[in-house]
Amino acid sequence: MSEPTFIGAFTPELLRNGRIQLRHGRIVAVVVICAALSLSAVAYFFYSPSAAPSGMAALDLFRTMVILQIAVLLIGGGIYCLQSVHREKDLNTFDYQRITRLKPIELAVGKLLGAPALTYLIVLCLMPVTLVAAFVAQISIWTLVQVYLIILLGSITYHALALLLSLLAPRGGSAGAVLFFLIVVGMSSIDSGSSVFAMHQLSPFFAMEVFSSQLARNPFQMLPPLRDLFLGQSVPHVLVLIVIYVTFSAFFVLAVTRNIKRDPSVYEIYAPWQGLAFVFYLIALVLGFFRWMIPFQIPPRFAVQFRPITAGAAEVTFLGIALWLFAIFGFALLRNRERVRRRIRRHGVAASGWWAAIWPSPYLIAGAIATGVAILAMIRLNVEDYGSWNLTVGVLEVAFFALWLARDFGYLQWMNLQKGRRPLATGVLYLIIFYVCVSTCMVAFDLYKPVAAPYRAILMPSAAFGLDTDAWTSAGGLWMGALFLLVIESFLFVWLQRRELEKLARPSGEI
Amino acid sequence: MIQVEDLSKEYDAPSGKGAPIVAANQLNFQVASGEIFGLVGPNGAGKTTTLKMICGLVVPTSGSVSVNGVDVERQPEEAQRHLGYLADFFSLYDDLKVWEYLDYFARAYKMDSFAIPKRVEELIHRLGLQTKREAMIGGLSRGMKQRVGLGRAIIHDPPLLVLDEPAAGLDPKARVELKDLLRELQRDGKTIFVTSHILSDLEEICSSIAIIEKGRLLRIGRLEDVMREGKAARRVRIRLAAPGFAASEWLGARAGVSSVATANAEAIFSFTGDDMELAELVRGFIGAGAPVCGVEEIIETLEELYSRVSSDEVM
Repeated sequence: MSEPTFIGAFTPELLRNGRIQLRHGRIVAVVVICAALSLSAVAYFFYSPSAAPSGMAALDLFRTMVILQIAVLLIGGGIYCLQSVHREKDLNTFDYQRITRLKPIELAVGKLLGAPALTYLIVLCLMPVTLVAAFVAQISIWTLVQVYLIILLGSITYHALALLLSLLAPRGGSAGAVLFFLIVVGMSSIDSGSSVFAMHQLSPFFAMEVFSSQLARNPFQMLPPLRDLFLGQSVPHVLVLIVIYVTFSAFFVLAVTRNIKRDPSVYEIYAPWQGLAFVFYLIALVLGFFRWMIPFQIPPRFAVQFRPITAGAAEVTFLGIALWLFAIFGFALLRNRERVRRRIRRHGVAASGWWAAIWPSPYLIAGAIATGVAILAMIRLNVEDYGSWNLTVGVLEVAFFALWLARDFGYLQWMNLQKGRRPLATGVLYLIIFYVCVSTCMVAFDLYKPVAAPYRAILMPSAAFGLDTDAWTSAGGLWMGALFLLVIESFLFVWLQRRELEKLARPSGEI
Repeated sequence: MIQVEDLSKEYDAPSGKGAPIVAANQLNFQVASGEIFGLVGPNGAGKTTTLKMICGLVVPTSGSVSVNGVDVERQPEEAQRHLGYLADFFSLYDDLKVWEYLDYFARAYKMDSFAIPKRVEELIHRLGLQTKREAMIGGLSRGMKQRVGLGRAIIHDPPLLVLDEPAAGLDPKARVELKDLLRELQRDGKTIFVTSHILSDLEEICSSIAIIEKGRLLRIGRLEDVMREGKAARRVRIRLAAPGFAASEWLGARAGVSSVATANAEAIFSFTGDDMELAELVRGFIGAGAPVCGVEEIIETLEELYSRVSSDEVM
């Protein structure tokens, strides 16, 4: 008990992680290794036969050290966070934390900042050489502040995601969680400056561009180096990143906090309205940063050019993105047998009636309609070339989108109430098989021609995306029929879910 | 101290097949302050689930639990202030020192930061861990780890201790020490809710017990009441100085006597009468010429009671 008293002011979980990870021996080892690494880097960049002039060498050294710091903090720290809850569950120590008087936020923050403590130490130990390199390379203090703000906030955001994954991953799912995390890091490190989004990359690796932007400009970028376009206004990407990091961290920490002290059998990532708020926020980002232009390449040098997007293409793009976001939201809404059984025992008949059986459609349909309205409004505001698209067609596409979500998540909810080892995974697998088989059959029956689109839409509502006025006016009845059949399909799963609820409502001996 | 009302927990079998498992079926019981309450049952009877529901670690399918008047589900953090918990497959942080481990949980239970060092030292002494204060937990023996685990459970001085199979895996000496410690804690006014497979241990320390099987409570009450409950007759053994007397015939003809078994110069039988009637019976037996050299009542052990009850002899 020799720590300074100010340490006690932090959450005990942070202190525990610090004690485990920052033992004297380990600190000495890290300091020695980082010193050796720093000296080697200095020797390589300044004194090797191929060394550049000191200004350039210092910039290269700075860049190398920053990349190293980002990699250690982002990926190393992320993996520590991915292990934090999962490992405790495996060791059977997690229950002891759940039973203490630590508030969920204290436990979450303690793990978020404490689990990667060693990586913070490594970053700190690499700081001296990095700062010296920055000084020699004449990098301004303001640039340095921006670089480290991005690295720190960005890492915390990814760590919060890793912590959430660690909490939610089932036993044996650790490797999958690590893989998913690395994919997210990789995808967010792709610079989308040359895509339909007027926004640079989202990962902390963007920090590299903050100080090197004036030196090398990406000819395919078509965006000012450090600026994005939000609703047509030029905004600094650093500011965008900070806002995104803070809000995403808040949403991830909220999810962790909601669940970290709960019984794992009744985890609920977000309350429905919180999940919906998160999806709306993401949709707002998508709409706000949409360029309203599409890239194309001109041979022979394949330079990227942009041309205005058509209304139809814009709606298809938005609905495609919204589909993924609502799919994640839909999964977060699904209730397992344990939760449903508990609801039924608590609330009686009301929890097994028709109203309960339409879950999770109300939130999905309401969210899809609100999203559709926003998309259509933004198209009217930003697109001049309507081509063969009009508002009626747009509304029809949104209707198909909403019913598609209602049908498939009605099915998944029904599957999730089945007995079995992993009913939801089985349900997803069957859904994939269904779409593969349906696609194959449609190819076999030549249903991919435009006139067959309404028939395709009965089973694959995506056939309605990209609908034009000609197709609508020539086969309006067929499209409405397809929509009606989609409603029937959705109700089929409502009925099936109701049957399952009735079974669960019976006394256990009868099930 | 503990109030359990209509507590049920159902879940699906891990295989996902068959009827749901009912780990707790409409349990109703109370545990009074200062008691050592034992919960007995076979593997899979629902002991651990019940215990975890009391601690707020598992949410019940229906029903409620309150600890010291606080609803565990509605105010888990407040309820958890009143209880300390030790799991069966307990695990500790191997990379922490003994004092660091206790210090962490003292902080986690929001103890007064000035009182923590004193409390940690006090527990280290009480649990006999003085020589292991600076040792890494990973290097301790199982018995020592059990003490550290128990120290964690009582660090915040809770009025209720919930212990799941605390004696499992301990050697006989450690078990004796554990029993002594539990008695000592009871003397300090703690209520102890404990499960164990080692019924003889429970019999020695418990003031009340409950027998649970397939999620149902078969018996519950003060230990002596439960032992007596359901037994219409007492079992009596009479030892004879020499074989040859027709004890079976003589005893079998007496009122209140049943199930007479004789072997090796002794007779064992069930008797429904009270002590005076037993004295009268023995006097008559001697008067009839039986060479009686000893009379004793056979006291049923908890293990015998448990096997009698769980095999539906009484139900």
